[in-house]
Amino acid sequence: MKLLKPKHILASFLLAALSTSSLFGVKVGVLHSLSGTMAISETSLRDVVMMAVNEINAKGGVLGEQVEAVVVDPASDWPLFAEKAKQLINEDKVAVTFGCWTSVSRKSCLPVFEENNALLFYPVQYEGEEQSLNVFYTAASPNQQLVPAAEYMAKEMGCKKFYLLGTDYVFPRTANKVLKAYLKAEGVPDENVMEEYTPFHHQDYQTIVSKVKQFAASGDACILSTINGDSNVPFYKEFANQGLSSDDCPIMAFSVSEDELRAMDVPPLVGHLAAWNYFQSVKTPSNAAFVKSFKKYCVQAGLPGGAKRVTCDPIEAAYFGVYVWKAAVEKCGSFDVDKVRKAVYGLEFDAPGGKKRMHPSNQHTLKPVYIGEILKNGQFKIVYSSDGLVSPDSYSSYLWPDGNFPKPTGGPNGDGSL
Amino acid sequence: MGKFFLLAVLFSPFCLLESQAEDENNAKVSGNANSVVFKENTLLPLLLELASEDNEKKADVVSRLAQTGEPRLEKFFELYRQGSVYNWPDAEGNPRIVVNEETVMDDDFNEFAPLLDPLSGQPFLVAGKQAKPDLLDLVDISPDRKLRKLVNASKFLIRLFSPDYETRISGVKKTGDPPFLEDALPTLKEIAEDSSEDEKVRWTARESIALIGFGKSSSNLEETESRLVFLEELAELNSLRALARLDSFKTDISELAQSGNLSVSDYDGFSGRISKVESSLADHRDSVELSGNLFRGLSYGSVLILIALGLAVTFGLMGVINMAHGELVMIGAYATYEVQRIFGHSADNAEDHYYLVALPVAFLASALVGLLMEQFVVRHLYNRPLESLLATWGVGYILIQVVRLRYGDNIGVNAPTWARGGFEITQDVVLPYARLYLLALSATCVAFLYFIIRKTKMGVLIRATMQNRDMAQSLGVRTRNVDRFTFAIGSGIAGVAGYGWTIVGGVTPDMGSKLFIVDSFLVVVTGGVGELVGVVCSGLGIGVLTKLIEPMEFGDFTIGPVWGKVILLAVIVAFIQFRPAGLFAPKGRLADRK
Repeated sequence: MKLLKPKHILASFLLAALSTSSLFGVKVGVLHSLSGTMAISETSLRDVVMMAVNEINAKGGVLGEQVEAVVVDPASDWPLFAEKAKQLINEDKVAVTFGCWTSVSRKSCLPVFEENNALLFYPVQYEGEEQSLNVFYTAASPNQQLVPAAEYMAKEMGCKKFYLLGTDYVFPRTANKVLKAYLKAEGVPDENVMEEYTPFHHQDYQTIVSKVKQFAASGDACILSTINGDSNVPFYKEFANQGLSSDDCPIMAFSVSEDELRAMDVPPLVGHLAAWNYFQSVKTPSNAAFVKSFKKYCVQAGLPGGAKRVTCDPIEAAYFGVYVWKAAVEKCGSFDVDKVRKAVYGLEFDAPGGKKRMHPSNQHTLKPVYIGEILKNGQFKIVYSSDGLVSPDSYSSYLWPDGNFPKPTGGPNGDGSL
Repeated sequence: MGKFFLLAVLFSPFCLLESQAEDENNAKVSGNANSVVFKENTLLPLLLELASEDNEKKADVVSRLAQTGEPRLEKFFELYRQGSVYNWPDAEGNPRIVVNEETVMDDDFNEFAPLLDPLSGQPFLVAGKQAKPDLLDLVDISPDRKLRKLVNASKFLIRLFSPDYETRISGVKKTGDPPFLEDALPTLKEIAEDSSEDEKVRWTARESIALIGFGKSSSNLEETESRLVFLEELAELNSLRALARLDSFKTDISELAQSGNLSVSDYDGFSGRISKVESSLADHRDSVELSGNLFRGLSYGSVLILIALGLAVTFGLMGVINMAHGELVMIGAYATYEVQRIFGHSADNAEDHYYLVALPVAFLASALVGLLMEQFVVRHLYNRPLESLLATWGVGYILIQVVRLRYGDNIGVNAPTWARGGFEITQDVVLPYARLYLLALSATCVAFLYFIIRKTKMGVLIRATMQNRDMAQSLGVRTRNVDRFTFAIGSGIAGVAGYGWTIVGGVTPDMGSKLFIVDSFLVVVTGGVGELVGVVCSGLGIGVLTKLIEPMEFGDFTIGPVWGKVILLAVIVAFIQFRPAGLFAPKGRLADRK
């Protein structure tokens, strides 16, 4: 008597194949702070990455495999980012990691990704001056945000005097270096450029605003603000309370997005500006669908804020990062980091904010630049958009005038070679 | 070149503008309704032409619109500049000019663009209902860069005719700023001479007239001389706006001297007169700065007092190292938010009285949390300072997380509308209403606490218990109740601090641990533990000192907030070396307690 018929064997094979794919699937890491200082910004990124993963799984996964997201909480503690990255790579064996917000957290886990030749998608605009073969930077490099914004203030708004105001850490300091070099090249005299920094969590902006008031009394000054985090609220409040408005001295901000505006008293801010590569108000059908599904996801997942949640630049960059990885994997037919990396180069894709492209070699993303004016409802009215995509510089030509940029780091051989 | 074109285009309309303005006055006097109809009839066809592709035609339309001197166009120009004015062609393809500022979403998050009428700002009606087409159906007709500058200039010019004080004065001010709208001069002069006009507006008009004259470029002796005359007039007005322009003027004339258009003796004469103007304006600025710095110091001090006052009770009087003090402040801020939510106060819907109701609510909410904390945690740990430090710290974390789970991280408290802006006490010294309110709130809280502790029976019991618990107990004081009450009062006052904070600062779950806890211990310890007057003196002292140190400049180096804080802490450390018990050390038996 035959115990096993060929039919049965086939069936059991099929069953086994099905169960391995659902059992093992493919793991991706999510490395965003869910507690501590940065939770205010990073939880939204975790949410949108989870949303992308759910969408992908609902449509059959990647290469037929279901994607399993391993979420860890590095708790806004910079050394912990390295530890959690190690755990994701070595214990969970993730194929790719989506994570980090602050530059210091990225710098902290960068050696881990380079040592293990793993892959990180980094979704936040930053100061540049870095090019690791183990990171894809899906947000803006300085020339995709800072320089177009300063140019807009000088040429469009007719500003002659610039007050560079920032929180005291690496992004504002490097950003202001780039901005000062740009303004100098444009012939703005030194005495028309002021630079000032405040510590993290600075709350009392009375002295600074009164200085701005004197500086801007000539009527042709603006502020280029790299103030970050919870200092923005008291700064804008004090600005309005001392009787200044966007007519007297417009503020161009590099770290204020729709998400930050949720926490602010918006009416006095109307007319101030921000520069990003995406706004919720970008008018494309795919963006309407993206905003809709993000809000629905927030309501369904019972996240705080619910339907009031908004999308913003880093949220878009985190979201399409997942899809860029998926497209690259499908292009090369493998989860292998080296193959995926090569597949990412030059990849064209549809993001919520429109068509974008990955740079053919420098790990960054070609994006459009938008400048928006704050509206009463906490959204931005887009008043400027760049002509097509702007190519990213990993190293700013304003800081390396001789063009001898440093070599990339990391990669399969650990020395920046491919 | 572009600027001259702009001025040329603008100049023609504004010769006509005056007569138009007179017409309008006549219309007002006689109450002639026909003139309004006449305006609608002329304005609407003009607006339709903005849908054209031809930029020169559009520029022409904008200047003709500006000719009408119609105040409602101020808002329209602003919307047009911003790109919120659209063409919404009807079924036959005829243009319709509409405004869409903000989009709305239905319950399914589909986005629609509710349309407004470009002139009245009222909903744009189609078949009796506000039209809400899909945003993608609207045709963008926003102006290009050159046209946008013209529109912006027209906006400021038309503001001069606005019946609203704020709008009018901003127009009066902005026409005197670069690019110096000379076309505004006739109207500015009228305003400056109009005795029925507000004094501040007239003063600003005089300033702007002089600034326009001063702002002209000069290429020879006469023109420079005339600029200088305007400058000297500005010096008499104590104009800080002129001071900010002085450097560029100096560069201009030194360039003229170098190119030989100005003789050396003329140049020297001018330089002498300029430095006289500069020193008189700089004197004015310095006095403004000094009074401003003192006020800012007082106001910063009042915030410090407010946030430290609660701790002065729980730590100062009771000796509990209360690390959750910052969280009690945070609870007060969130209570304020909750009241705002219930009242439905928002940017569009001002319900200012919510802010009065929020005061007792914030006090009670924090007092209640304090009461529970005392009952379940603190009372077991009296006389065990280290354990109470750790336990209250833990309680703080729990409170942060509870609030974060309930509200998320990003919420905004909209200040009541009266708290925006400020009061100009003398020329250029503006005291923001929000800061004045905090000063008053802080003084009230100190008075309230002083009254309770010094003037009521409960206060006597509190002092007795805190000075000698056993003796008080043996005399029949229910020390448990006294403890509860005292801790609740201290917590409640922390809540009031959070309530006051919302009009100057932001609200986040971890605001307490990040912003308040260190500062409040600093104030209490410097002031002397256990003394109310110590908190007041050290709060004001630290506030004024900080605000005097921060703006100091040494050559190119400004101290600024980062080094200001460093210096302040160094001063306090040195001070504590000399007076370990703080400004007002407790004396007698109280001092021996610990």
